[in-house]
Amino acid sequence: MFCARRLLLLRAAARPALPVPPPRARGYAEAAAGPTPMAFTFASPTQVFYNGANVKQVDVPTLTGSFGILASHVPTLQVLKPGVVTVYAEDGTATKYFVSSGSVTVHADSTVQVLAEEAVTMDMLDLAVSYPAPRGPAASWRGFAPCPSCVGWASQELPGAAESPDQGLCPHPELLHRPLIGIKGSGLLLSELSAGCGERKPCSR
Amino acid sequence: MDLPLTVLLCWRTSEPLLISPAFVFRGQVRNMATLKDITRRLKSIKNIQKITKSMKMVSAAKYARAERELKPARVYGTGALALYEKAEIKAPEDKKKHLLIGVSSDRGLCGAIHTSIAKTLKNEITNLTNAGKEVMVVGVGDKIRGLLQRTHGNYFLLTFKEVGRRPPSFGDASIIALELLNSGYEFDEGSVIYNRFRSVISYKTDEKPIFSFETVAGSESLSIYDDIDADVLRNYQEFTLANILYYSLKESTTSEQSARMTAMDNASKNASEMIDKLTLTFNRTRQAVITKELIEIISGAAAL
Repeated sequence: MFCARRLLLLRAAARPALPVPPPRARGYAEAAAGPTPMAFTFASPTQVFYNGANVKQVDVPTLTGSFGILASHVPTLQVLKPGVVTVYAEDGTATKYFVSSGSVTVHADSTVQVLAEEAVTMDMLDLAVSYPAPRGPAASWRGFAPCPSCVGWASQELPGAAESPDQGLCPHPELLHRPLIGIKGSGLLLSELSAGCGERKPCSR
Repeated sequence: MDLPLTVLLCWRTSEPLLISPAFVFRGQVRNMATLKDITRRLKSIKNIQKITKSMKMVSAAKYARAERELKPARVYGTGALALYEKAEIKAPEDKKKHLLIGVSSDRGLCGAIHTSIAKTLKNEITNLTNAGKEVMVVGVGDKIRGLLQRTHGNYFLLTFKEVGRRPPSFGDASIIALELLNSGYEFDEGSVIYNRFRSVISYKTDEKPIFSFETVAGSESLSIYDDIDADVLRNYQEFTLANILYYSLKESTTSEQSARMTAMDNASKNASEMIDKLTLTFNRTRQAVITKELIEIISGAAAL
C-alpha cells in the first residue's frame, strides 16, 4: 500500500546547498562516528510503547513517503500518515502498530520520537466494523449507510470491484460511505482517513 | 460539677441587690449565646464537615486516575518538547508579539492553584509590556478569566470554559490549538503557564515555550534537520502545539485534584476542631441553663 520505500543513500541528490554545515551534522561521505544507539520513544497521548528504548530500525509512513530509520539517521522532522509503524527490536523481531497521524522527529544525537495521535497494536483493530477506503468521489457525510459487501480488511479482491472501475472497490456506489477503522474495546472508529496511494487493491496486512 | 458551685459562690459574694436572671446576664462581658444558637451552629458545621469529607473522597478518586494518566502523558509531552530543547530554538529579540496561555480550570476550592497561575500571568504581562512587546492572554478555565478580567481584561484573546469537569483528552487540546490558530493573532513566540505536578502535597507553576511557524522556520538551528518543506513543518508545528497543550492540561489537572484533596482535608480537620470547641461550649451553656433554673427554684423556695 505504501509508496516505494526510499533508502537513506538515495536521497543525497536533492539537498539544498548550505553555506556552512553546522558541526553536528555529518556529510554523507563520512562514516558514522561510532555506533550511537538509537533512543527510540514511541507514544500516543494515552499509552507509551517505547521510551528511550534501543531498537534496531523503525519504519514509519510519512506524508512524503515511508522510510526506515536506523541509528545515526540524518536529523529530520516528518508528519505521519495513517499507516503501519514497524519496529524492529535488537533481536530482529518486528512489531507493527497502526497509527492514525502524528509526527516523527530524528535528532542529531540519534534520539527518535514518534508521537502518534492514535496508535494501536494490530490485534486491536476490529475487523468487524472496519471498512476499506472508498475510491469514488466522497459526497456529503449525511446519508451514511454501511455497505453490505465492503466489510473487513481483506486481502482478496472484493466482489464486483472489477465491474465498476470508476467506483473503486465498492459495487454499491449509491451508498455513500467513508473509510472506518474500528479499534476493539474502545468503541473508537477512526474515520476520515485519507485515501492513501490511490491503489485499488485493499491492503493486505 | 464545679460549675454550679462557682456560680453560687459568685452569687453569694455579690452585692445583695435584687438579682434577676436578666441582670445576671447583662453583667457579663459578652452576650452568651443561647442554646438554640449554638445548636444551629453545630448542626451547620457538622453538615459542612460531611460535605468537605465527601469532596475529599471524590478528589482522591479523581487524583488517582489523573496521576495514572499523567505517566504516559509526561513521556508524550517531553517527546514533543524535545525539539525545542535540542534544537535550542529562540525567537529573535526584535519580535514583538507574545502569547501567554494560562492553564487552569473552572472550579475552585483547590487552594492556590488559580491564584498562582494568575500571579505568574500578571508578572509576565508587566515584564513584557515594559519590554515593549505586545501581549495577548489565553485563559483555559473560567477562573483565570475571573481573576484577571477586571485589571487585565483588554489582554484577553480567548477563554475556554467547561475545563475540569471531565479529565482532559487530546481532543480538548486539539480544540484549544485549533481555536488559537484560527484566532488570527500572529504571535511570534509564547509560553504555556501551568502547574506542574511534583507530589501529592506539592506542585510548581511552570512555563513551557511555544513558537510560531515563522520563528521555527527561520531559526538557524533548524538547518541540520534534513528534507523539510513548509507544509510538513506547518503540520508538525500545529501538532506540537496540541501536544504541549495536552501535556500542560494533564499536569494541571493532577495538581488541581491533589490540591483540592489537601484543601478539603484541611477544611474537614478545621471543621472537627470547631465542632469539638462548640460541643464544649454547648455543654457549658447547657449546664449554665440548668444551674440558672435551679437558682430560680431555690430562690423562689427561699422567699416563701
